[in-house]
Amino acid sequence: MSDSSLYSDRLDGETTENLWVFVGILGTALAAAVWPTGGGPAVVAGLTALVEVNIRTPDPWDKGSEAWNDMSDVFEQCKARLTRARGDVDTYWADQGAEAFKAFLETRIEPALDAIAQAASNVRNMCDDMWWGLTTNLVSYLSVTGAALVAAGVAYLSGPYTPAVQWTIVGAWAAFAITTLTAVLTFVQQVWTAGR
Amino acid sequence: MTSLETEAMRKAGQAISADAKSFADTVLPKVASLTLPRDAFPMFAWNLPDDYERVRQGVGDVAAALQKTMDSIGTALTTIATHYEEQERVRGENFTYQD
Repeated sequence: MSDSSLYSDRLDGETTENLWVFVGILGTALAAAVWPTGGGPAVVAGLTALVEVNIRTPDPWDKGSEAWNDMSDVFEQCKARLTRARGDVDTYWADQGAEAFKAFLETRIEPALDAIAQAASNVRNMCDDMWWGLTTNLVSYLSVTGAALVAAGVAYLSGPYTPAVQWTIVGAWAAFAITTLTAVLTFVQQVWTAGR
Repeated sequence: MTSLETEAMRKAGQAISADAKSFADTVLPKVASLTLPRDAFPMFAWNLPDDYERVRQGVGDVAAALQKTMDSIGTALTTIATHYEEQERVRGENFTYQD
């Protein structure tokens, strides 16, 4: 699809599509488990859809973090080499040209290298945060949904269907899913805005 | 062989030229390949793809400008070293140095 070295339609690891299928299966199972409530499945379906659009594979962000870290190192090393070269030359070369050369490296080139090294390491942090956000989202969604499924199963096995109990399960699940999703993404947004 | 200490300048020129070359050969293509399509972002982060792309392009632009500048500096240093060596050679031909 794109010429990105971080993202492709044919990732080896877990793709976004696989995760969606997984979330879809869990959502369907939970909807079936709370069927007697009447409205429960609709709530589950709505939330599952909301979760789906926010679930993405964290893979590219992991690769991105590494790549930007390398970039930052490259810029820093380049700056270190320039500083050393400037010092070596300064020892032997003393005329107007030498001064101009030294000043140009010091005031233009080296700060520019510093700036892009810093920018690259900021992007690395952003990638780390996004990776963390996506992973946390996925893990908490899976664990909470799993727990809700178990609870629904237990309620089912322990006696006749009681919509109230089932609603409690759906309610707790929905509240948690929304809270996690919002909290994690708000955090990522804030970090990104700060790091810009 | 020259009595002037042009070796350090020549080396610095070569080092800076080498950096410029590695920028052109690997760094710039690498930065260009670090794009992330909209699909990689969750929906709640709808405003972040543009941010990411701006920073990536910014780093790429600065690196490209640095590449050109370092290339010029590297060549200039080598040229200056040659200039000093040449001057000495010409003077040396006109007069004999005392031991």
